[in-house]
Amino acid sequence: MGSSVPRRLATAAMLCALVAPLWAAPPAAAQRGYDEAEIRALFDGLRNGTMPSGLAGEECRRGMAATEDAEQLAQVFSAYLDVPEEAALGATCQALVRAIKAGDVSLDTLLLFTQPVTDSGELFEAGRLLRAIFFAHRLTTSASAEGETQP
Amino acid sequence: MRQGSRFAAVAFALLLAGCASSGGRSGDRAAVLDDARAHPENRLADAVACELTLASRSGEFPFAPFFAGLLDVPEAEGSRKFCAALIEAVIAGDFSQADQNAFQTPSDVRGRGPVGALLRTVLIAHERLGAQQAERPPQAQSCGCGQ
Repeated sequence: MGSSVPRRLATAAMLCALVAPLWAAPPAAAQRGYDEAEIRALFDGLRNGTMPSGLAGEECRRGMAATEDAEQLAQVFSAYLDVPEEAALGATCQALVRAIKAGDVSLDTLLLFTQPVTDSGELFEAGRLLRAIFFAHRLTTSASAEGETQP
Repeated sequence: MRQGSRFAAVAFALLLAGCASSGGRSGDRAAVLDDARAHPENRLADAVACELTLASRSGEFPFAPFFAGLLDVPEAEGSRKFCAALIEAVIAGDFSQADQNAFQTPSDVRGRGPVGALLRTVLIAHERLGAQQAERPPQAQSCGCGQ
């Protein structure tokens, strides 16, 4: 493990790369990063009910899929959420949408990831966001399983 | 930012190495996890060794805040809870030797799946430990060692 990779920066950048595309804007915006106004509009739309969850989730998925990190993100979230790799980005976005609607993810937390994550507070929020996604996904799958067992 | 994820596997391999390497008592890089796997009765000692290893690397990257957020614990508890959960996962068989070995393979070969799997495994193990602790009688909870 004697890598010369600057570990702090690499890991911070990794966390940012993992988290930031979760609320990706359309590809053009994704190329330049994640625009605060777009994130804010989508977040507000979800919270006040003017943005349908399905639409937000699909936009999120398409945004993630358009990034050059899409394959890596799919690999990570496939294992993290225990879903097939081809469904991983969609599942992640559905979980994120659900977490936002439930109030488990704040706008401030999402906006943190418009810039590289560097300090400990931001890393804490990155961990919280991944946690929220995990449990939101679990709720979704639990609900689906219950629905399948209904007579 | 984009190239950051190229370092994802490296970063998490380093993260894993925080517990899997430096070996606490033996100095062997994978000794802590190997020891926990072979000798579950050493759970607490291995968790402490893991934590000490992470602490010795705290100048390189602040792992504790990230895991504190992931595990929903105070920031100061991040490393300790992460290590307790990782050791629990090893003992429970949820983080196998093969899982551990995967981090020795270049990420370009093995992909990024092991990173997500590790996060999932640690999170589930942490929740299990929390549930177990909640079931214990109050007098058995006074120590909290290794959790």
